[in-house]
Amino acid sequence: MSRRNLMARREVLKSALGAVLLAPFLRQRELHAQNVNPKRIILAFTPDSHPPEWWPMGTGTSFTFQEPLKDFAGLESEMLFVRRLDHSWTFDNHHEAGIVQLFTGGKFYDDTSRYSTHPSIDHVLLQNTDLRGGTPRESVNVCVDDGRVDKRHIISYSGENQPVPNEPNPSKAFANVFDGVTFGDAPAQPTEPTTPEVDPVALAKQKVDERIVQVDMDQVRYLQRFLGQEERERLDLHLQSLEDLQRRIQGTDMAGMPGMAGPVLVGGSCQQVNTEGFRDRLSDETAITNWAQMQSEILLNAFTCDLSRTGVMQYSFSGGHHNGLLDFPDSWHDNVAHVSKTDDAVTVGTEGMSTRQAFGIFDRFWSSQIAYLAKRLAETAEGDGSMLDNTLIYWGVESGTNHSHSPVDMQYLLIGGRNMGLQLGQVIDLPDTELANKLHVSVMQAFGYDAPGFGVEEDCGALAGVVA
Amino acid sequence: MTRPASTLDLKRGAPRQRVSALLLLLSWAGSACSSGEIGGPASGVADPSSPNATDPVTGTAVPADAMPTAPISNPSTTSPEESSTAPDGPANTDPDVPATGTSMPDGTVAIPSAEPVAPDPDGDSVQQYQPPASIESELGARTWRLTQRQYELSVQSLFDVVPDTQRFTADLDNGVFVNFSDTGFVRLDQNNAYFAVAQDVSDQVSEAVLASFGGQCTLDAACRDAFVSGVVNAAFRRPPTADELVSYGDIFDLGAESGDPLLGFRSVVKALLTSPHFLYRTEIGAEQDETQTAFSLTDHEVATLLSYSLLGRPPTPALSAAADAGTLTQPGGLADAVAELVALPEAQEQFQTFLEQWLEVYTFDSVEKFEDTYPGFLTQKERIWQETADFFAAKGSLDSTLTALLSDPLTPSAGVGGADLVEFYSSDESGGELGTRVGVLSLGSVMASHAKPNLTSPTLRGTFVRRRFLCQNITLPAINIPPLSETEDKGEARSTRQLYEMHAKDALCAGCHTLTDNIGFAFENFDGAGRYRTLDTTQGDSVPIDPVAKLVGTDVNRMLTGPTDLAAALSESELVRQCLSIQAFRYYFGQGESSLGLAPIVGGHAALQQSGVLGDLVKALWSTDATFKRRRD
Repeated sequence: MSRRNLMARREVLKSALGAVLLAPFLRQRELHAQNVNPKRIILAFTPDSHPPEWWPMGTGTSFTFQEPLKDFAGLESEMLFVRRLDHSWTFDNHHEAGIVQLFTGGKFYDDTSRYSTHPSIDHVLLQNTDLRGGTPRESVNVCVDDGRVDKRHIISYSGENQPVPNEPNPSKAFANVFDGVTFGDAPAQPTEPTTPEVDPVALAKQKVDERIVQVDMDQVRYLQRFLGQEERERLDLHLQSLEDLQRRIQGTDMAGMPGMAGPVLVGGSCQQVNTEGFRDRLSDETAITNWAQMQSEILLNAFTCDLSRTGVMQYSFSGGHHNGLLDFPDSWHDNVAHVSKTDDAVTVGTEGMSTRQAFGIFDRFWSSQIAYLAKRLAETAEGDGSMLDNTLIYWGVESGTNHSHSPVDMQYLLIGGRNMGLQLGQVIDLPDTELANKLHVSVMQAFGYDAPGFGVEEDCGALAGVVA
Repeated sequence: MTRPASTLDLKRGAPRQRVSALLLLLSWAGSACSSGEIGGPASGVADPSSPNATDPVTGTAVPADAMPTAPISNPSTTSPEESSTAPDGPANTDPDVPATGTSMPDGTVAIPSAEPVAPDPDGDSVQQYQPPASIESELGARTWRLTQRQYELSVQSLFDVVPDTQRFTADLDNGVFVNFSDTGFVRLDQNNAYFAVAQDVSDQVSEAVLASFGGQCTLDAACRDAFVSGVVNAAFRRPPTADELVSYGDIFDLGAESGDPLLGFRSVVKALLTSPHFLYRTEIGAEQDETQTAFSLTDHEVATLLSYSLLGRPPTPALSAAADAGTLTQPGGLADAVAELVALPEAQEQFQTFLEQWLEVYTFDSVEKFEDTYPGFLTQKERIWQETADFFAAKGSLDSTLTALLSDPLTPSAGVGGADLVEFYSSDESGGELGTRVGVLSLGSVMASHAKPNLTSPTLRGTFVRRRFLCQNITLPAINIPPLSETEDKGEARSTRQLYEMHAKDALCAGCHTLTDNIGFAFENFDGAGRYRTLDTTQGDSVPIDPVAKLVGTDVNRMLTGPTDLAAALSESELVRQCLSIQAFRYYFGQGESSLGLAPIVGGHAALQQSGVLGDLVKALWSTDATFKRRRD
């Protein structure tokens, strides 16, 4: 396998399923070499687990993809599979237990909301490393789902019972992420401050905004004096958002923005993302593909101009049914994924097949969306490599292999992050079952955070062979 | 195989405020259910852990024969740790979860796990209502962020501008009610949206409105102090402090420095709309009580709490006047104010929102059905929703009763589209008529929301009734649930009922499905879109609908022959009255209950026992000391 496959535009166009609207997105982003390689992480989720064929054939560094991962062809050297990982606990059919502990290693905060007791790994890293790197946004959380914000739709938590919702609408996501951003083709360069013409109204508004933020921060702190710990922690999030806002108003966070000084480590200019034609149809493969690509481009664009170094890309939700998707009239969840061990026959479109085969088609569809994101990162040059070298896509699902309703043989996949020392290009077939939280510990090590454990396993240690 | 352990958090003031329990503690029974294959969420735990289990709230013993043999529990009695092990999966590695019942280092109590026992699918398990012991209020100090709708109404009320809140982050849905205070976060995107909307509103607010805050003053520097005082008072729903007058005076001055005579005024408006004192309702008490563990809310805090909870908007002038006069925390004053508020039309609107969330139809807009299975559903959705709104207005009014809400005849609206809806509900060939429809459980929106896109679901419907009307959580088993084919041969089923009955024959599944499906079967005359039918053709044959069901695990167990019988049973149930009081508490107070003995819950239940009038429930909920007494951690 070649170490890297920087893909040509044409290849990407050919590889993405139903790549409508793709062309406007494809821009060459030449990022300037920097002394420091930024570290980035994207948490990714797809629904209904994977069939056994999701695992590659072979182990070690010699493996080939089967049907579900065919769209990752060329990226073998950028991927790390670890087999025989289990979640540490389960509950009922594991759907909610699986998604809540997927990246948190935690438990249910309570038995009703079933949000997590622990922060997810992205926030653990944000809180314990310099992952954010002075960027304006803590994270970019986008999704392709029905917009609900309940327990089955959340994979990122900033703390106990602190779910971080994702934005399903690309237009809204773009407006939020690129609020106040100047777009342009010129790469960002730190510039000497210039003396602007004095506009008394603008100047006054600037001062007002600065003062408002200060007053608001004082008021949050005042309220915290009267509250217990959990309430104070909730208001800490408000305080943090005010601090972010303050930096923006003061112009100290303008990384990647032409003409603005800031802690620029990396960065090209921010680009517009075409979100026209967005349709929130979860039973329409073309609509989903367009939608997913828009969200991917927003995330990629935010990374490119260094607005953030953390992202969530959530495709569908735990237990997503998607009746009608891929011309299958019934529920993929009930009629395919759940019964993929059976000999049942189903018809997808006009083609009859086993439920297992159908599950492979369904899984490939979602996997192809992740492949699109991975390839876009891989084709984006950064430093002397690609953006994928500095970005880990950390992909997980809600249940054990073959939608088993169990915590056994969970399917995590690491894509990218070579510059962090991740030992990519291999399938690690563990000799014994290990806790998935050990993989999280290893990932944290790659990001420079040596923690003894993760989630409810405070001392579980790391997995061997994941990080150099 | 590792045995599951259960723990209950009994600490007062524990950081997690869990939604609390019915009186029974039920634990592992070894029964399990496949939930997703045919029925969606369900399945179970159950059977007492010892001959006499203990009520986690009251500490009183509960006889084993008073417990269902299937897995019922309530959210607050079921701690996350109950699910900490997977019998066939990885070992429990959580050091906090013992294998057997012991006192935990942090004060929680672990309940010994039971030996698995056979489920009792034919059992007549009874769950009797037992009055909880009353406790002192232990509602905690908190802030409670305005929901998007409350924000919109507040801005409109203050500045006569309709804010564009499209950029707001969706209010989190914790699965109980969407307005819980502990999920009201302000993160960067939300704060950016607050600032953007504040800018827009401050640009749009009219000079006349601005002048009104300063006593109709001329909008110049001389108006500064009066304006600042007036507008802060209005926005914060209380008199401003001296520090606040200084801060917002400074902001006025910074804006005025621009030379634009109005920018000072508009800058203060912008500032107030981003202020935590505007964005949150506070329940922190007076500043001088900062060090007090037990304290009382200020009258203005009470006014704000009451107004947003009961009316969904900022305090009325009369309520603000009562707060200014300090009567809301005085004997009689609170009850009078609550009675006046409940009489307002906005209180009715707010109660209807409660009904929508309680009945889990607030997401009806997103319910989808297969057009070939239920032709016409899409075009009838609006009318189905109108039927719901009409029924809520008639039978879900604050003047109405719980019995009427559950049992009064339901006919599609005679208004616009009513005839079309009758035609739709009668459009199944085997039905040809509306069928007998009574109460909220016969609403098309309720039937369609608790069903599959192409099928009914006795499990979804039964679980819904258990969860929302009886406050019984069907707690799923902590085991590896096998796929459908491993538990049955679904190919033999000739009807939906048979499909579910075959599923429930499996010992793994019977414990839960006996509880849920035996309620759900009673609805089988109403298909997945709420149409009446007498034949089930979903499995390929035409099988006569059999709506006979056996209600167990309640205080009103009986045989049912359809939704009318179920409605009658629920109307008689003490557990239902208690549960409605619990649900109303959760919604109106925006939090889970730490105990069933909380005064609002006890008071609300008593009101339903005495009069059954829904407005009396709401009034009783708010007329206790728990409205203004708080504890500080």
